Amino acid sequence: MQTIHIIILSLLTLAVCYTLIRAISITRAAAAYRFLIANAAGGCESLGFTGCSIICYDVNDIEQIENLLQTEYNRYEVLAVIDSRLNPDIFYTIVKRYGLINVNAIISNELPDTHIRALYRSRQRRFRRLVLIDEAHTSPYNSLNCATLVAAYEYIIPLNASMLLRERAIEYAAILISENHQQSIAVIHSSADQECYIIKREYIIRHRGFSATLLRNIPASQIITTPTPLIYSANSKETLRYKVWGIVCAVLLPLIIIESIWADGLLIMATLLSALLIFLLIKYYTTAADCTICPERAMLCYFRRIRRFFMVENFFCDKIICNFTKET
Amino acid sequence: MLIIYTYIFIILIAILATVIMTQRVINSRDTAIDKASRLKKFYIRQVINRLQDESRIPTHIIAKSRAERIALCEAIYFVRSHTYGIDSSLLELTIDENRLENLLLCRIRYSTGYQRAHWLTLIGSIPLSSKSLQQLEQLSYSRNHAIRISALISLITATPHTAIRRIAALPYRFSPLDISRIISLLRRGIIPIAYEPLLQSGNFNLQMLGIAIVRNFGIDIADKQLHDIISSCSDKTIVHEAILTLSSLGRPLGRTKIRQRMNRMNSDERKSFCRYLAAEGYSVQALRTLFSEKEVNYAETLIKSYKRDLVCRQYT
Repeated sequence: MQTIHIIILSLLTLAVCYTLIRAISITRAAAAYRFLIANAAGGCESLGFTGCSIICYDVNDIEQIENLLQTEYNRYEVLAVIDSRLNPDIFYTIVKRYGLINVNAIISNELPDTHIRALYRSRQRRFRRLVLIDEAHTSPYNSLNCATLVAAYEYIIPLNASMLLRERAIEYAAILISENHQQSIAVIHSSADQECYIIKREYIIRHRGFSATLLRNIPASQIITTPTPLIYSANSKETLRYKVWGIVCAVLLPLIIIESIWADGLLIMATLLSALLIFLLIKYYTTAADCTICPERAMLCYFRRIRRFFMVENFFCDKIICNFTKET
Repeated sequence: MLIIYTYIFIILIAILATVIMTQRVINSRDTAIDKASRLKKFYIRQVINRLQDESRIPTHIIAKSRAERIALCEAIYFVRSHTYGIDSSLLELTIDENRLENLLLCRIRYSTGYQRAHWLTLIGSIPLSSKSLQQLEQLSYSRNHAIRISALISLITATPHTAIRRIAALPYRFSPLDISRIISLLRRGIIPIAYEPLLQSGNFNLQMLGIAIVRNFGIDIADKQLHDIISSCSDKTIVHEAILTLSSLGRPLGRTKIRQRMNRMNSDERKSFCRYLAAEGYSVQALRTLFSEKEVNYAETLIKSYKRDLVCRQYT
């Protein structure tokens, strides 16, 4: 009995400590973000010639494109990948809205099995950052690979439906990359709210495109992990709220029932207090970091990370799949 | 069993109370942020009015509480960072009356990390006494990069004539963000620096700053100095920066020295540079002089999809 007490108490302490460390790192990173972004605002050129291409696949709302085009960073472009036969409505809405024309470019053959039908760009200078790719949709990976071929800049940020960039996120990513330019950075991983990956184009090409194993075995020297949130979701929070409370109840209730049978009230009290502390810490760091961050999503992200810790086979290789398919 | 239920009940009540309290704390913080933002806007208007007042009769801007004084500091910084060549002596009375320098020094002393760097950035927008300069001098050698750069920039703003000496004496290298911050001072006319001595100096930071000045101000006539750097400099970062600056100025890149330097780059760097040139508008012919046939073929795929096609083709 004593052993069960010790094990449960140790696990609770570990969970609280992990959340506390996460809260401290996210709050500190938020302060760094605010400071660096405020100071980068005066410059009008790209930092260290760093460029970013946003790949927007599975687009179902023109508002998403509108939002992504608001970024003012110098070396930046938005690549929207849509199958004109599967989603003609959204495709032709975008073409009409931005005055896009078919440029019929030759597509590079760096990646195999990509099915690009046509490339569209705007004649209007204000929309020169937008590229629309008409692809024959086979899988999300194919969409990402098509856009990677067309991308003009070194770093790729894949975003799926309804994902938006946080204000000045590109500038922050450029600061991170340019400050570490001595070491070649292959991946930047933001682990706060929504997990976000910024991947070097050459790294993707070298690994024959996007796949479930893309992020496996990256040397530690080539990856930067930042607790600063870079993207957020515009989706409704209602369903997420039910999901979060469902998970909390599914974990807490059996634990309390087991404890009430096998242990005493003090342990139940400790469990509930730990849960409360974790909840408050997550609530605190989501509000401290940015108002666009959804606490429920942060909690889901937190649960996923804990689950992944205990599932060794999923520890690293499935991250990219999570990010690409979770929302679809 | 009854005791357990009592415990659970108490805990649930405690959870409810804590959640309500947290919500209140968060709401009060939001209110405080709103209030600070309103105060800042109010002082920005006052500072602008003071600067636009041509009568030169001193008007008093009074900030009583600490929050108001901080808002006034931020307003002065905001106005200074968004204007060109303002006469800061007009604000001296306001700064002295509200003892802003003391407030900022106190804040700098008792804060750490990025918060300290923030206060250091703010102090750069007000005229400083010798005591403050001494403190900033010490902080410009801090272990924290954000702190030392913010202190350095404040020092440079306060004593522009010492800028080159201070930068040359630095034991660390500038990051692109640091250079961008110094360039924004130059743009606002706070520090007048000539680019030629910087390009000719052997110091990394000065050369990088010189190259950034050439690029930001579009100085075409610096072509020769940049070629000299490319042919003689041993630092790879500086050479890389010089080549990229030449290309962002739209200068021809076909010289033998540049080709030799390009040959020493690894394949990733060459490809990235090739993509950069394509985006900058260089033609396939220009790229042929620098890159292999395979690399040019790749760049051609990008160039073909750029503007020249947009001009020629009509949407059907």
